[in-house]
Amino acid sequence: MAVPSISGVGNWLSSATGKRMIALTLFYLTLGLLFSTVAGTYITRSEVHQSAYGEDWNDMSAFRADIKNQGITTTSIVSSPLLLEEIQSPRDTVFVVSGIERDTISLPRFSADSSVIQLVEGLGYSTSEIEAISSFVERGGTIVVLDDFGYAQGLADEFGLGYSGHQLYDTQTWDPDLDFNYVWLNITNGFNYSSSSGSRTNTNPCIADQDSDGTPDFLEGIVVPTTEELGLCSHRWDSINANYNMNPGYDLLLNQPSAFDKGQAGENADDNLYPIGFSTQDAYLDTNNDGKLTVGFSGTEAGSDEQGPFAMYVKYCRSRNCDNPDSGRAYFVTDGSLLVNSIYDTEGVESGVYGEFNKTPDINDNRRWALDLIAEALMSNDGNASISPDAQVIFDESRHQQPSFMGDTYNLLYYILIYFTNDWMAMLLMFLGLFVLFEFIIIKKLDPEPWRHVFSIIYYGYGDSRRYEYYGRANKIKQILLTRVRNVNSLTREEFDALPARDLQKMVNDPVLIKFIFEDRRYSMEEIIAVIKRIKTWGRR
Amino acid sequence: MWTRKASILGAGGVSLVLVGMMMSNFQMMVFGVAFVAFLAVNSWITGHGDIQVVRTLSADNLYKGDDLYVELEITNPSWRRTQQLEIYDNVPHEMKLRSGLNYMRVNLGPGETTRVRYVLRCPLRGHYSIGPISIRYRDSFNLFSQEMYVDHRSDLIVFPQVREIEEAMVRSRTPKMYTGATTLRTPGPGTEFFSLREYVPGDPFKIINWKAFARTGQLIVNEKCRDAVTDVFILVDSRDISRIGTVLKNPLEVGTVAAASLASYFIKRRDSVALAVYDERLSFLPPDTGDKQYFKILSSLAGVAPKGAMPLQAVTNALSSRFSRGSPVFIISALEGDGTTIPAIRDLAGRGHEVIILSPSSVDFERLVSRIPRTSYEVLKLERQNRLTALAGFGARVIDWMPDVELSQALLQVKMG
Amino acid sequence: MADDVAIQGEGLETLHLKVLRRKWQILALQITATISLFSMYIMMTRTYGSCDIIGSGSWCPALDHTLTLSSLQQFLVLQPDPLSLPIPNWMTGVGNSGDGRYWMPLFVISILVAGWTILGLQTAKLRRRVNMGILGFALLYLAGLFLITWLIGMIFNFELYLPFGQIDPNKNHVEYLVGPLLLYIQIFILVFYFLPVISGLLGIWGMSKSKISWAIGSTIIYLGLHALLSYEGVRSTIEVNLNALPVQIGDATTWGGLLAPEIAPLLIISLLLMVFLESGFATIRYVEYAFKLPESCKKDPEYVSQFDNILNVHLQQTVGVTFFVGLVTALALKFDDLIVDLVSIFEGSQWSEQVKESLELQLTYGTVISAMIFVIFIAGLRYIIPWPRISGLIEKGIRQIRD
Repeated sequence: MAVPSISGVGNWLSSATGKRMIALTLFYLTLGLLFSTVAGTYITRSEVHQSAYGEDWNDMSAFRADIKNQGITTTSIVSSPLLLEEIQSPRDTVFVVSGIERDTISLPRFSADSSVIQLVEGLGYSTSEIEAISSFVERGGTIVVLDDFGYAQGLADEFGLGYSGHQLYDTQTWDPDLDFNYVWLNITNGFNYSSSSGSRTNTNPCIADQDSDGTPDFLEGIVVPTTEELGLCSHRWDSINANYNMNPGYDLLLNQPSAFDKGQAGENADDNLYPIGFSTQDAYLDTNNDGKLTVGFSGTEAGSDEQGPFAMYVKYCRSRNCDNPDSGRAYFVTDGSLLVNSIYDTEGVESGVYGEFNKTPDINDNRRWALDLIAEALMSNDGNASISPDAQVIFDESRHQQPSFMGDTYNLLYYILIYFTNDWMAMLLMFLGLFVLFEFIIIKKLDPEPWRHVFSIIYYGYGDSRRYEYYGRANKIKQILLTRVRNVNSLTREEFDALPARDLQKMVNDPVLIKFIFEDRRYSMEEIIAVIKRIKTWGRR
Repeated sequence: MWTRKASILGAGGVSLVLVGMMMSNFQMMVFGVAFVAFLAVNSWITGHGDIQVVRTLSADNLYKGDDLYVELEITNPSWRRTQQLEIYDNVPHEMKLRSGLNYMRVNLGPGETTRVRYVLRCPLRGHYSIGPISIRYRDSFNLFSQEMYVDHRSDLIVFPQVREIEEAMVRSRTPKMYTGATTLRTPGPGTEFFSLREYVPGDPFKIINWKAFARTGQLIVNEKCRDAVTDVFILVDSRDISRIGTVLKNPLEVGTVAAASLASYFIKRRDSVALAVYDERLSFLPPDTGDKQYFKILSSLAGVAPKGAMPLQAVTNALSSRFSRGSPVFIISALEGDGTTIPAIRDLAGRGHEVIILSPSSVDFERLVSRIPRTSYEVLKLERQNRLTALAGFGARVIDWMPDVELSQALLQVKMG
Repeated sequence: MADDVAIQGEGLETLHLKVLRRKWQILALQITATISLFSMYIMMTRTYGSCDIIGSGSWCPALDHTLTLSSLQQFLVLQPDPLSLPIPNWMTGVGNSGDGRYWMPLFVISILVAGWTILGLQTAKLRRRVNMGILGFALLYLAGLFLITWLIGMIFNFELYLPFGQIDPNKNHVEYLVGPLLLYIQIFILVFYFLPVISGLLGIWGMSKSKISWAIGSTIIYLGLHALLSYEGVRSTIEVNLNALPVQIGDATTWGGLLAPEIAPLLIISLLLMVFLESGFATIRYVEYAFKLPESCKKDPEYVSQFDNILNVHLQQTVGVTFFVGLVTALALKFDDLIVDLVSIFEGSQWSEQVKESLELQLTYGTVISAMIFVIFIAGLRYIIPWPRISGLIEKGIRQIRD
């Protein structure tokens, strides 16, 4: 094989092809760099956890398995919650967001407010996504948002909540058997929505007891219920003791929780936002982020941590006091690991299902709480315990780190596609793109012309029309006449020039032509024609 | 290459998929996928252009106005179908399709052969090349098309027409000015009988006079006279100005016909003919006789094109050393736009050459393409007449050749001054 | 050399227009296009011809002319002076159910188009006369009776009066316009609904590219309108009771487990549309080529045999390509399952589980994306499998055996 010489390479580089190739390579490199930069903001490698599909101690497989065992369909969203808009029966759907681990990429968008163009998107989810989730709740869907220091802020804002983003240390309810990161959230009655509402246990079908006989309505008259009869409330049935748990309170175990901002989680019945779970008074938010508990005077002192109590579990209902079972609900808890296997499934931890785990969490009500809310959303509260065949629980996996780069790429591709087919701004751009593409094709893409032999002899008709006028002038005619006279008489130019006028007149011997030769005046067309005729006949005489 | 249809189908397919997603409309998505699938499936059968083409012409050289028969034999030597293949033989646009078509759509199976036959008429003299063969292959549904060509060319020369002028030359006064192949009273290779002599070894058998041998019993051979060959010089004016008129009727075009006819006539008489064509420069073919020279002259005349403005005197000066003494010189020129015409011809005539000027009337050729006012036309004609008269005055034989007059007719009218 | 070049031959078969019209390949193409057009229309009416169950009984802009005609009829019956539509129901299909609603109008349209096509083969003079006759009759039918009675009325009453708003009902001659107008309205409604078929048939048999384009255009407009009117975003504003296509696909149970029952008719419609389009245009394209050939080429056996070659291969490919496009699309729409299986092999179970359960796959996004990937894969397969060579080899082999 011939080795290209340096001069050959140089020649190629300076050639048109070479330049084009270099320009193309640079263009694609830049494009690739740009794309990888954008994609890089989305695909960031970190620890994989809080996935409903992971089997690790910090994943939520046990929760998902429980739901599946109850006969509910579980689904995932791997691209974007924009898909919630496609859900046909939101009333039978629960959307679970556990830990929003990464931000989103999106286009600037138009908004109705004064800023018109909104360049900075909300945290975690894009505005369109937040709108989709909010609309889902409006249409009767239930969402569960479990997050601590992640990107749930944008979504929480939509519901009037503010995540503080700092870790909470509770000096009273931390679990001494584990460590200070584990905090108990004790709720006496999970259905006591506001100070004026009283206990609203009837809103949950598992503990709804209209006649207050200690038996839930849907089990009225049933002594030992079957699994089918228990519906989605089987977790409250103790089959060994044949006892049904009617406790409306929960002792939730949290791991490294955060809390809501004090100003933004207050009880406000007008917003239908009900803070239900609070930390104790001796709880502190690590507002200075030093990883330590710094006690100051009422938390107002500079550099000290803020003191509780803080709301940590807030429930939002579309209907006042969650009275309408078909209306949408949203559950916000300031701990992303509330339902992780290690806390949710203490038995499983003990039996080593989730591998070596050096701590054994105490028995808690996290499972009961979670399954209660699933029952509240998906089971009818009319005493029949009926479940819609469309009932499903959707886990948002779009904001979770995937176990492989390929998985992340797959999700990103879906995200882009779904974003461009659901977000108005992106759709507009795409329409524009498609329009331009079609225009381009219609204008630029031309089929080759059909071949056809055309017989064409190039017409090079040639003539100097400018001289025609010149040849019509009297002087030119005069000159031609004289040349003719000279030729006929076989005179040289010199001889002819030296000829006296009388001799010339003799030679011509035509009074009209003689007059024409000697008289210098303007001639009419008719006169010129007459003269020409005479000249023509003159030579023949 | 994707056709417009394929591009629209592809873009439409993708758009339908996307818009279908936007509107959650299944039909659009299925349409979109089906469109793209249609493209994908068809991309398997795009065809190919690896074919063998052989072109056969009925003649390599022909005279202006003759018909040329062309045959293309197209074979698909590969194992694949060509799919829809368009074959187009690139024919010079100066040629007219008389019958058949230089184009065919085929779909050749493996090893299949087909033929395209057509007839061309060549109304213009010149050097031409037929080919290459353009090929365009596409699939049945016109989604992908590719163009290529087979670089197979056939060259041909279209000579100017040769008119029969023998009778005119005999009847007119012009040819009598020189004698053509005159017989010299010296023996040599020739055509006419000179004398009888005894056979000497080395004489070819074919010159033995068998009758004399029978009569005398001695080997006697015929001796022939050596043909004295006259050199005839033909000067053709191919200056830019000689294109006045139409493509088919202009001084140069009729001039080439005249030159070819004269050359043919003289070469047939075994005279030597020299050809000088002057345009922006002078091309000179030295005097010679025979078929080879005839071919050279015709070929040279086939290629002349109007250009430049070389004065006649420069031509005669350049050739002065090459002109044979007293040889006749034919000048075929419209005599327009050249102030040196008169001195050049005066010189030629002065040196003892018989100068015959065949002058196509450019004013009348010009009339074919432009409306010359009557007065101007008459004046132009008068001026031309003056010029011709002046030339005749120097002893040149001048023929004023009108466009609608046949060459043989024109040769009969020698204008004297 | 000159002797080597033969002149063009003349065979028994030629490429003259009259011969082409009877050529079996051309007829096969035209019939294929016609059948696919009819089937497509029937398929479309099955898919898009029904209203939402909630709004059943009332009118909706579904692709069903009987809905509009029935509504019009009901409206006319309710008038103080009850009227009825001139074209009888057995002809329009009103009152029938299922495909029975369309057969009769389609039959009548076919007859009319056949007549029109035969007329197109006649001389220009006759064509013009017939056209003028039809137009004249239509005008006369519309206004003839009205004008005559009005004029006679004015003559007999010996007064000039307007033909409407008169107290004497006998003088309201304008009522004579109602009958013809109703007929024209009825015809207009039928033409509107059957535009793809009418225009398509005229295009196929009258060899008009623009009419075929009209047929395609009107089909796409119907589909687009349906898509738009049944789009959730529009439905929330204007509810027209259209039966929307399902958003989620069920299990693949048709076509041997390849396709979901919701997709099968949609895919068939798109395939039929393509067959109609390609066959219709191809007929015109080929006939146009042959028509433009010079007389000597039309008789040349080489041109004839190559023309046959082109047509035969086109017919073969129409069958083959349609089959493969159907198969590839069906496989492509099924490809998401394969992707999940592939993913579960190459990736850990967590991701494949969540992909398998993902809403994206259920909501067509995944299906369509994987379908597109599959189609691209199929397109790329040509670089791996030398299909043209294989088919060429088979063709060569068959020819050798035959010889």
